[in-house]
Amino acid sequence: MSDVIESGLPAEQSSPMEAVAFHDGQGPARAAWQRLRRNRSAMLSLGFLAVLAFAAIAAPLLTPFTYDGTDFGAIAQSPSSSHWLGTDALGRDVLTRILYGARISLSLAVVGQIVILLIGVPIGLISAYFGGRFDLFVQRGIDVLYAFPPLLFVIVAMTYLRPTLDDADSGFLGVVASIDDLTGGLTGVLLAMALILWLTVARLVRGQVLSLKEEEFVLAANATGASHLRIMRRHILPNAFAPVIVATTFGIPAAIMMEAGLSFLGLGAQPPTPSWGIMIAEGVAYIRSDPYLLIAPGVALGATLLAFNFLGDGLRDAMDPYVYDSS
Amino acid sequence: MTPLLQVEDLSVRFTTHQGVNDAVKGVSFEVGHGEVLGIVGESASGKSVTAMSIPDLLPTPPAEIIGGRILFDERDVRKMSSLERRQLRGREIGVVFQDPMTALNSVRRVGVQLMEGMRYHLDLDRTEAHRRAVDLLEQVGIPSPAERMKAYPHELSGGMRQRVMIASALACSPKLLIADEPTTALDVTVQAQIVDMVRSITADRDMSVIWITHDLSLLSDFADRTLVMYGGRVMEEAPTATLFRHAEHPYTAGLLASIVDTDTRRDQQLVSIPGTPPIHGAALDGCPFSPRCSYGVEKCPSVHPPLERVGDGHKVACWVRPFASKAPNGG
Repeated sequence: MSDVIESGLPAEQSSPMEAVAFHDGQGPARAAWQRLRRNRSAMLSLGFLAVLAFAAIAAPLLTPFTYDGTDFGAIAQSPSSSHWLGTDALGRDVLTRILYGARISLSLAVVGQIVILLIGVPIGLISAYFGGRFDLFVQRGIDVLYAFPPLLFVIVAMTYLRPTLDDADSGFLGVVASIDDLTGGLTGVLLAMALILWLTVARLVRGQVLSLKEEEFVLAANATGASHLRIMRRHILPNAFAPVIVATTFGIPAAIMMEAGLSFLGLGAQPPTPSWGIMIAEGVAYIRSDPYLLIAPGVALGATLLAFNFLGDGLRDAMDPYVYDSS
Repeated sequence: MTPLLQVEDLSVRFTTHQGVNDAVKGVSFEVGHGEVLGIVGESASGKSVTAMSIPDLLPTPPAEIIGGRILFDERDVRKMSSLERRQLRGREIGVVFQDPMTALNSVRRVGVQLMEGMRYHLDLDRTEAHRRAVDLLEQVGIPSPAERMKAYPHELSGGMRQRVMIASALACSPKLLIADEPTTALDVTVQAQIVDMVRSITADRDMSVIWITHDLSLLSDFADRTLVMYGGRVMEEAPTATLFRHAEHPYTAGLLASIVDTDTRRDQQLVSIPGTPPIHGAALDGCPFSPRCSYGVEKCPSVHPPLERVGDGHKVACWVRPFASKAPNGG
């Protein structure tokens, strides 16, 4: 089979310059990771989020208290050696509630983004790939929904959803309602947020796919007889992923913020679920006498948002080195 | 024996915001089993559109085949279902594109891309597809093929990438290989290596080839027959040797005269054909070359000359045929 080589054709040599420019066998994901590792603020943020996630998961092991355990012997205490961040008006340990609150913020954000991706990516992909009337129809629908301010949409959706779920006790809504109860009122929040936040992802993916589908490698894939599904999955989607990952990283703090805002307004998680938004809302009443009740969850929320934003910046720089080199 | 490919009176139209452009008008030709057909012409001559309409790879819209028949292996391609056409692509017709920098997917390893078609068309398992892919890479002259399977496109040079593309087009042993200016983006020495490599592989496997180029000299010792296109029409068709010795069409003669080779003297003025190729949509009813032709007669711009047989396998579309049965012209 190696007749070509034997016929004396010179095999091509790779130039030494190219050998220097790229590491052998390094894929785009690994190259991005190496660039990300050089970004100090992104790595610190990643570390902070890792610690936070660990603390949230291991919360029952890290603290002797429970998030809803009241201790009327220790009401509104200042930080001390037994209660590191003090206690609230019902004698609940604030640090414990913050750790459990991290569970809510992180899991809601991550699950929310997964749901958003599951809705937004296929819609954007299919809409752009097939184009034509179908694309037009989908895009006008998205435009209409886009006209609503997201927070307002979620507030309206929740004011409708909350009593509906509270009243429902049978059928499909009943199932949703019982899940909602188990998750401390968060399933409703998740549904309402996913309903509006997938729009951004769908638009982003559509824009990517519109330009990618004109690329010659898609034509080349077509020339090998690949099916539409295969071209979309194997050729277009992997190329569209970098901006989607960046957008998702920025979407997480937005979702955390929105959950906190909704809970603050009483439309999100239901007490005694220790959402950071609820804790801030409860702390507002004691801002003069016990300011740490407001400050502690506020700092936790702020630091988490900041960490996700730094990480998103780092990912954007790492995944698209042509845009901006931060070093 | 029926030819592998028969294209009859093919016309392709592009409809855009700027208007209608007939990129290919009434083109007919055949490719026999194991035959190498060269299609030569300037940019916008319709050569790529003609070739890409065979495996149904034209972007529709804006492109649309408005007439003609394409018979591949005695089957009418235009009447096939989209699934049948998909099985034609890659399995029976392999395509190599012009720019190897953009025709490979940059986020996937070349081995995976190479194996994809084989696994789909030949239903091979991973191990078998991998073994054949390594074989193919070796055949197209890529050193240490097993390691190269794991490389990403950016780790390979332009010539190597084009070799990978060719390997991918050859993967399922198609009956026809369509190469659309595969060496244009490469430098001259690599170009020669690639041509030699494709020639020896396709000859070994008795594979038919359509090789599109704007470099006539590239075809001289490679193509069995050559089709000269201009403005979406066939100007002249002849066995390549005949074409080089007795070109009859003024356009072919002009192309031959403008070839620069090692015999060209240092102080010699280079020959070129005056004027520029027709702009989209500005094509005439008559001979598209007539505005640049110095032999034209009155009816040239208004009536297109038929493609007439003038010798053994030699066809010319010209009212005047200024070079008919004369001594070889040009350089």
